[in-house]
Amino acid sequence: MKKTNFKNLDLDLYYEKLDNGLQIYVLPKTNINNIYVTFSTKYGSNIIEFKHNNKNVKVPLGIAHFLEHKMFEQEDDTDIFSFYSERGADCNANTNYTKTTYLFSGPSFLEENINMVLNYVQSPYFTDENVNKEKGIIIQEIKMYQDMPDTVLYDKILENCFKINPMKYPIIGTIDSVNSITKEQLYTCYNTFYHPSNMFLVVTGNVDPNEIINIIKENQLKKEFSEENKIKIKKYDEPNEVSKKEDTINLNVSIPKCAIAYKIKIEKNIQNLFYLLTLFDCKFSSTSDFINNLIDEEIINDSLIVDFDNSTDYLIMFVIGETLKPNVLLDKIKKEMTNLKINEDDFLRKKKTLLSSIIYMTENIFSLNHNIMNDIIKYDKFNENKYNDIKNLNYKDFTKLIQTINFDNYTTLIINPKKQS
Amino acid sequence: MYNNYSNKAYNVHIIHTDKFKTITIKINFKKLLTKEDVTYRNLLGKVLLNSTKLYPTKKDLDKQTEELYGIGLGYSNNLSGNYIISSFNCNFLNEKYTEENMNKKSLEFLLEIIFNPNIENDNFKYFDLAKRLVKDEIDSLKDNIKKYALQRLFEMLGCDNTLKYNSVGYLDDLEKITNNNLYDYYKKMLKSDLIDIFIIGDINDQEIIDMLNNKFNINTVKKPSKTHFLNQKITKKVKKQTETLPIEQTNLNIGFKLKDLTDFERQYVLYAYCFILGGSPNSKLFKTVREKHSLCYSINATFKAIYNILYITVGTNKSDVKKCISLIKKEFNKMAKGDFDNNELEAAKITYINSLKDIEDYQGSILKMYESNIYFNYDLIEDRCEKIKNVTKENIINLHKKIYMDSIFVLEGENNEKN
Repeated sequence: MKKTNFKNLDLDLYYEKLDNGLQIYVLPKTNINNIYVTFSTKYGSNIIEFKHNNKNVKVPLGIAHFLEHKMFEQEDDTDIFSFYSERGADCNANTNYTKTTYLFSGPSFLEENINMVLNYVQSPYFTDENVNKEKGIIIQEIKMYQDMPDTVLYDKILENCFKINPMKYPIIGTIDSVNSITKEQLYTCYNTFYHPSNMFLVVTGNVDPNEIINIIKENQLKKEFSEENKIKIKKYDEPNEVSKKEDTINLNVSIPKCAIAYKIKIEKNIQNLFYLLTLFDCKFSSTSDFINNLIDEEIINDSLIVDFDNSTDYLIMFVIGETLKPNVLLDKIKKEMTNLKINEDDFLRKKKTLLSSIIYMTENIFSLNHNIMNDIIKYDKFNENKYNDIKNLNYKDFTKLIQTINFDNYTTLIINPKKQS
Repeated sequence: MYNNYSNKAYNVHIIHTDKFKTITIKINFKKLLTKEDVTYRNLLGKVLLNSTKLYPTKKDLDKQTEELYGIGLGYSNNLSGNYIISSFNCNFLNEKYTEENMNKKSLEFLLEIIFNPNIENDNFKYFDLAKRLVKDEIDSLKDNIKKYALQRLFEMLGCDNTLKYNSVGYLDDLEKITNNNLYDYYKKMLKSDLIDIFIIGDINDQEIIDMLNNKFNINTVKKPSKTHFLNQKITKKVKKQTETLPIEQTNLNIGFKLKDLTDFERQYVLYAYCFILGGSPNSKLFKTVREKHSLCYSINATFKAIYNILYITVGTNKSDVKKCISLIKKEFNKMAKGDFDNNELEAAKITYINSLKDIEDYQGSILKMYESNIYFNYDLIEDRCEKIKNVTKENIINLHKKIYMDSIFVLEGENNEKN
């Protein structure tokens, strides 16, 4: 077991890699009651073409999410939800572009609960009948998302950002792709991506790391796994340009929404991400002159939203707003991004809030767990130096970096209200 | 450890704990609710959190939140039965983790927002902007389909009481409010509302009390007059309404009224009842409507004890609404005979007890627990933990006799039959 200190934040992270390749990260926080456990595979909706038994396969969109639903099906009819419910724990699962996570939280029955998540995720049971039954449920889930304008906005923007990378498709898939999924395809995906060597557990909360690692070790020793196979996923030579420069759609919204997304090729590290976030924050948060002028001119009434996605080699920076004049707003944002001058005072103030946001994050076992998972997925290891990394951000590097980026590579989207028929 | 430092004008509740790196403060202004209060108070929040005399633009004010190490600042209007509660709150890092004097500066900042608004000649400086923001919010109520459908159900259930009000406001009231009205309303709120100040964290009581004595300039004496709880009139006939919108999924909401609940039933039996019926992925509704018949992705049963209502929400296909209603009625009626496994009752209890442990993990939820103790006379953690254990199957069967189906609201898509 390896112990690393979460620098400057009074927290320790324990790490162990088992013989079967499973990785375990434990971060004890003993002044609170709850415990949060996540069990993830590095397999998300982005992976649809890969090698299985040395043959190239292509699977339907949304299959990672479908598989997530189906893992709850057990041959002996064990009801996973009942199991956790009877132990007063919350249990759930989720799928994003780059990983699938099975999780529970609850302050008691720790050993049983951990064994259960390992056992049900490691015992797939798919039949034609239980696969078909799930389709109706997932199609209702798709329709629920189609009625959420913000979800549609993100999906559409990513669709228009990427030309070939599967990031351009919604995580959940489409009604047609979901309807086409078979149990054989589910087993293919399961056998390729759910080997322990492609998976990791993150435990945060009121726990003893030794106890956790022993429970998991003992559980895994009882099971047999195939030899670790090298996973070969299709690589996409994604062009730098966005796939569609502009787009307009109609949805059930009252006030039009608009968004611009910059597709940025940049080395993936935490400093670069922080610098870009700081730039967009300085430009488009409520402390900027730009926003205050837009409000005075009555182009917008509320602040804009800045967000990002770094699931691929590209960093996508989003700016989203609500306005009756979407074209005017988009033009102003584009123009604002041609002036990259930021005051040092503003930079330092934003840095101060970034630093305190790290402390806020460590107060919550859910945020901590997600932070660790994200690091593992994005950087393949946990970054225990985050606090110091932010402390070391400096104005000179910042200004130098942002000058090197091409902010002409963007896509815009306008969402207009749908007329009621 | 809880300390009360109340005076005739306001109550101060201080909860000591060294478990957290942050401090949370919440200042509640509470009055009996009328329809126009909702719009007035939403508007008021917008002007007060925009700027103050000391920080005369939104930009200045937001810069100051960053100077205070990213202090989280909020204002919310909470409709609570017969009352409306307007809360100013903040959450900030304890000065042990930042720099000396930050606790004091943070509380000062919150008080600046409440007591030193950006006024010129009895007029709020950014009144017009605030009005536009509130109008946007009212116009956007339909954007969140699930919330909108629920609001429509509440309008049916609460046609003769305050349950029908939304928490954002109304265009007819908004049009009538002038800048002068709003300033008068603000002064009246400070003067006549019931005030509770909640503070939780690792702090020095005396330092806080001295500051409040100095800066919290309200001296009027007030007493609460009425309980928060609403009684619902029971009618025999189930009402049904349908509305069509250009959406993909049909939202079916079913509302029930509760009559003559005891304190024990309201705080404990009702929780267990809902949990078993539709409160978890292991519930009767989830297992039948979703898992057995694949008719939906989400289905839930929830309650609002203050309003004496219980409601079920489902997202489904337009053509499956009838089938859903009939399945839901069947499962609901099974509750009358106590037709559920004892394990489900035990699961409800242990989930409840674990959620109590969860309360202790967050400042916000500890604070909320004291709030419900003070406003609704609800039990504190130790009592809750003991009393939930006493809930029996008979209790649930008896509670069922006090639950009356009242309204069905269907928000349907124009064409959503593609499967």
